[in-house]
Amino acid sequence: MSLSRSFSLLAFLLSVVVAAGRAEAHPHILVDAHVKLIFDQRGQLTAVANAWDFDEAFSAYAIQGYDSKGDGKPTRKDLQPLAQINMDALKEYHFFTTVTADGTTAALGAPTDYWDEFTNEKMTLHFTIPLKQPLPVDGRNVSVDVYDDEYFAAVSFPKDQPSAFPSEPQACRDILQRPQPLDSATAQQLAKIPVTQHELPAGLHAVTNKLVNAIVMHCGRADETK
Amino acid sequence: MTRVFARSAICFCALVASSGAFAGMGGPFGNAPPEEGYGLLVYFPDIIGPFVSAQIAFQRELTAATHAVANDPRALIGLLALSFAYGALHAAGPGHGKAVVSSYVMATRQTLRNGLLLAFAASTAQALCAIALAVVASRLFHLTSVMIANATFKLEIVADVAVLLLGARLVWSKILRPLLRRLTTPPPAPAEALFAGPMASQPMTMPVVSRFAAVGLDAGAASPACDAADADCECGGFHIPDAKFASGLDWRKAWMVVTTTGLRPCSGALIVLAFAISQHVLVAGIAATIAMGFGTFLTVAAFAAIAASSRAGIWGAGSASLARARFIRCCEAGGALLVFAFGLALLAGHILLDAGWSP
Repeated sequence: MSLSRSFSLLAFLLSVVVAAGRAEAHPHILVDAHVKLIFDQRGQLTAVANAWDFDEAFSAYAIQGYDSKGDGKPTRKDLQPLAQINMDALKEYHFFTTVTADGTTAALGAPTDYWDEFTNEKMTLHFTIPLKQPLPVDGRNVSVDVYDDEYFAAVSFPKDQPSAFPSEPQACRDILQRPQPLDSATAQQLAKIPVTQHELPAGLHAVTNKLVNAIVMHCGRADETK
Repeated sequence: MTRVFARSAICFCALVASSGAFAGMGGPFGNAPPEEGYGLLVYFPDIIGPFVSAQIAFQRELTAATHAVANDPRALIGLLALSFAYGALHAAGPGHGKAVVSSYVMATRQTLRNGLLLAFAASTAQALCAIALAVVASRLFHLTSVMIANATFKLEIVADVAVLLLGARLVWSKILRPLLRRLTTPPPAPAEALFAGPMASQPMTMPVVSRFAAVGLDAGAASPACDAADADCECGGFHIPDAKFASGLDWRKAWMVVTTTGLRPCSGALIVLAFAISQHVLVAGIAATIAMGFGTFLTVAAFAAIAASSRAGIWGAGSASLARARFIRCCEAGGALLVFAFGLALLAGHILLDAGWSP
C-alpha cells in the first residue's frame, strides 16, 4: 500500500507543479528574417526577398536525411526537395507575408528563386515573393508584414537587420516594427492552435497584433505632410 | 514476449516505410512533427494549450543543455535531469498513454505490480521508437525530416485506432459477453457462486478465508481471477480475487496497450536526438531520450497505481462480498467503456482537426 500511496502523492505533486507553471509565449521555431524590398526603376515595390535563418535545433532536425554524403552537411542541391516542400507548406500560410498600401492588401504572386542552404549549423530559406502588380509607394503608407500570426514560428528581424532598401527609391523613411513580448493569456490562446491549422481563428486577430513584425514605410509626399 | 515484440516492430517498420504524405500537416515548413495528443486538442483546448506551451519551453531548454554537453561532458547530468523532468511533464500533459494504461488496469483488474510493468513497457517502447526513428532510420536509411514528421502522424493515428480496438475488445469481454451469457443461462445462486469459485477452468489454490485476508492486507495481491480480457473468463459470475499472488502480466493481451501508448515517439525527443547528432553527442542524446522515458514512466505509473489502489482501497474496507463483487464488475465495465470512448474521441478529434475544424 505504501508504494501506491507514494505514487498517488507523486501524481498529486506533479499536477500541482503543472498547474502552477506559468504558460508563456513559446514558439516551436525561431526565425531570423532578413527581408529586402525590391523596387523597379520607377520606384514601385515589385517583390519581397527573404532569407530566413532557422534556430539550430530546428535546423538540425530539418536537414536530416538530406545530406547526400552522410556528413551532416547537405548542399544547396541536396536541400532543393526540402525547399520545394517548404514552399508548398508555406503557401497555405500565405508565406507569412502581407503587403498593404493605405490599408489595402496587395495581391502576391507565386514564390521565385527559392532554396535552402545550411551554413554555420543553421539552415537558411531563401525565397522571393513578387507582387502581382508593381505597387506605387510614393505618398502612401506602405507596410510589409512578415510574421506568423499563429506563433508556431516566431519570426523577427535580426538585431543587425540592415536597411530593407537595397536600391532606395525616393525619399523614404522606414520603421522596423518588431514583435513585443506576449502576455500569458495571448500565449495560451495561440498554443491551442494545432499544427494542422493554417488560418488564424477569426477571434484571435485582435490579440496577435503584438506579434507583428513589419517594415512600415512612409515615402515621398506623405512623409512631408506629416 | 519475443513474438509480441516482433509483431510491434514489424508494424512500426511497415508504417514508417509506407509512402504517402499527409499534405499540409507538417506545419508552415512541411516537416514539423505534430504536437502530442493533438487528437485531444479539439476537446480540451484550455487544458492542453498551457501544456503545449510549457513543453515547447522545455524543448528549448533541452537543446540548450545538449549544446552545453557538446562543450563540456560534465553538463550531461543537467541534460539528464532536464530530460527526466520533461518526460514526466510530457506524460502528464496531452496524450492518452496514462489514460489507456490506467483504464486497462482498472478494466482487467491488474495488480499494482502489473500496472507498473505495463507503464514501464509503454514508456520504454516510446523511448525506443524515438531512437529507432531519429537514429536508426534517419542515419541508416536516410529518412528525411519530412518522412519522420509523416511517420509520426501515421503512428499517432495507428495508436488511436489501436485504442479503439482495445476498447472494443474490452467492452466485448467485460460487458457484452457477460450480458449475453446471463441472458442465455441463468446465473447460479450467490452463495453457490461464492464457494464454487469464479470459474471451472481455474482451480482454487488456497482456502477462501485466506484469500479474503490477502485482499485486506495487500492491495497488490488483489490479483484478477481472469487475466487481461481473458477469453475463457466467465466475467458474468461473481468474482473473487484469487490467490495468484504477483501473477504475471499476459503479454499476449497486454501488447496492444504497449503499442497504443508506446508507438508514437515524442516530438521533443525527435528534435533533441537530431540536435545531439549534429553536435556530435549522439550518446548524450540517446541517454537523454532514455531519461525522458523514465520520467514518462513515473507519471504513467502514478496514474496506473491510482487505478489499481483506489479499487483495492475500497475492497480493503471489506463490506459484504456481494457488494464487493458488484463494485468490481462496475470498475471493469467502466474501465472498458473508458478505453472505448477514448479511442472514439481520439479518432474523431483527428478527423475534425484534419478537416480544418478549429478548437
